[in-house]
Amino acid sequence: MTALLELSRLARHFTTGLAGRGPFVRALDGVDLQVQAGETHAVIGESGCGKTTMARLILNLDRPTAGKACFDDQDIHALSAKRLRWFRRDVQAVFQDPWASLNPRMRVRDTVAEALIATTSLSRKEIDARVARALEEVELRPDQMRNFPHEFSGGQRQRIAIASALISNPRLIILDEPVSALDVSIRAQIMNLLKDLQRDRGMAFLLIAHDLATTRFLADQVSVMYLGRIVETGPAEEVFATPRHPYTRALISAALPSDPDTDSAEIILKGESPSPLSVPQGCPFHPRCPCFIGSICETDRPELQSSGRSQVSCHLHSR
Amino acid sequence: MVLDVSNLSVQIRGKAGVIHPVDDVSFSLRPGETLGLVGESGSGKSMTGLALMRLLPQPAARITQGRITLAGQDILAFSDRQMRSVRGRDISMILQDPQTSLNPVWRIGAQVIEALRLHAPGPSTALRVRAVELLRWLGIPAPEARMRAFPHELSGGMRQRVVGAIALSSAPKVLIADEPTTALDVTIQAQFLRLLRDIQAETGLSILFITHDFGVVARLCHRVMVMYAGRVVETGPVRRIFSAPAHPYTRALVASVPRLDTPEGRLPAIPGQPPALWSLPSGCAFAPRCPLADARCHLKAPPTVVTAPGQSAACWRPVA
Repeated sequence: MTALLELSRLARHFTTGLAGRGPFVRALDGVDLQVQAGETHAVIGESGCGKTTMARLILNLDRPTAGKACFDDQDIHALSAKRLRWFRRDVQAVFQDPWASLNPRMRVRDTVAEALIATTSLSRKEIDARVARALEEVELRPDQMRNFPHEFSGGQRQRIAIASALISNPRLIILDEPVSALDVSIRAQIMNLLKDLQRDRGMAFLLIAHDLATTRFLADQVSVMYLGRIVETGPAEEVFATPRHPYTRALISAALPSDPDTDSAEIILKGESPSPLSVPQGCPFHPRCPCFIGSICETDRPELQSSGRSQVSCHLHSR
Repeated sequence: MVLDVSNLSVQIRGKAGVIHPVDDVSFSLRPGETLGLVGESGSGKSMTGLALMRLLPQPAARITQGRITLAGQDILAFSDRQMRSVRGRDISMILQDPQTSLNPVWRIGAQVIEALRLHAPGPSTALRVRAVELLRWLGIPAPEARMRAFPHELSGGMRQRVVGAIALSSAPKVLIADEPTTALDVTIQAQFLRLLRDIQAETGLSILFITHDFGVVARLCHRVMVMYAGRVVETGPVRRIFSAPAHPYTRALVASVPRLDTPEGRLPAIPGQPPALWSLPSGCAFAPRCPLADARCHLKAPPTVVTAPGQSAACWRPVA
């Protein structure tokens, strides 16, 4: 089975300094990732790990330095103008902050209908009917399409953003931190809604998140990123139950306990993520690694290798 | 009690009329204790923190009733001048975004020294030495070199440590921490929470930790106070809040948080959304979303009742 979305050795390097004479920033440094139709693949990692750069490349908002991103077996960055319109319909996005992602001067109807107006030639009436249906799907009332974004709460705005992503019947939605700007009592509503929509309509999600419990709830597959590379990837239950990479273990142990009696051995990492401007030699994680095993970590960069049902890039798991 | 708050109310006059973001709030903080103040946006948790510092936005907001007793002194009776000497010395605050708490055009060292000089003037060289010590105490590597850095040269986690160094520079008795780790990465958050716990063990600092995150509460707090629409709906020891919450809102909120160990199915979400403060329902503010609400809940505000030792809830139908 070919994947719906397939990234192969995808990389994006930025130049810095005057006329690009400064050091390279390897924001994304050769990433392989597959998203199957109808599944949720979560990418987790801390700031600067390259997850947003990856989302921008997939959405064709930026071009890769090397490697390829294919949607439906077609190179996203080599689409014809006509194909690109199809692509825009098939791949949609929902962003973190529903205060920033909705145009405050546009009525909900026009925001939600935008993808339809841009990619189809439906009549006004047909568009209104589709907008009404999309709003009902996200549990808003169709008559609310005449309102402006400021008339809605944060949770409702995120529903509007989801409706505008849904309306073109996409096959993949990029969810970039879809609940982290919302209040606690609203998060559960939106997470349930996303799960229901996927069950009913079968689209795939690429979820970008930093909250592990959110990821655990929504994801089928998980990839953990560190400094522009995937350090561990596998089925969600496998990665959470038996994390193999020391960074994944530290991330999971740093995830806050769900009650005070949860017995979690905290692994407190030394220091912070190094800047992508000066990625350490060898394994990029070695200066902070609690399982450092010797000079091989300082000199050789580990490749992703199978370990159980996961793949992990760590010398502990080599051979 | 190092801090005692009784019947505190804050009023804001705005275009939509008069609202009460803090409504009859009472609690106390013991020496060496961390009290978690949990709530969603608009629950009044940050306003409560600002009222304790007497830093409410002027002239829109004012304290209409209540007493705040800090180390035996009624600080609401203090003049602005007296209050300035209390702030930083007896009670300090750290906020969510360290970027906005630091002056971007001053070096780190100068900002820490300024805070030290305010409450304990002395020769510059001595202050300098103390500033370096403070930064080292807060876990900042190579503190001598960092003294010359500007805030933008530090990472978010390091900036928050500098803010912590300034807040703790005069050894306050009470620290109000308003979502200090929300803007930090997961592993950096873990480092910062560990640091707060170590400092507390060393100094006996009392912390009012304002947060929306039950994970932080579980890891850090001894007692918890839950606010909804300006009122305290439940107070209790941290274990009871998680294992036997008395207020239906606390119970629903704890249940709706996804857990690493229960992945399947749907989350028990709370229907509806928090009410707007300018159109609060009569009776209990949570009643429209409450699965247990009956006629009385919609009519009359509930009294606060003790449901277990050290635990109380403002509810007509608390779960004992």
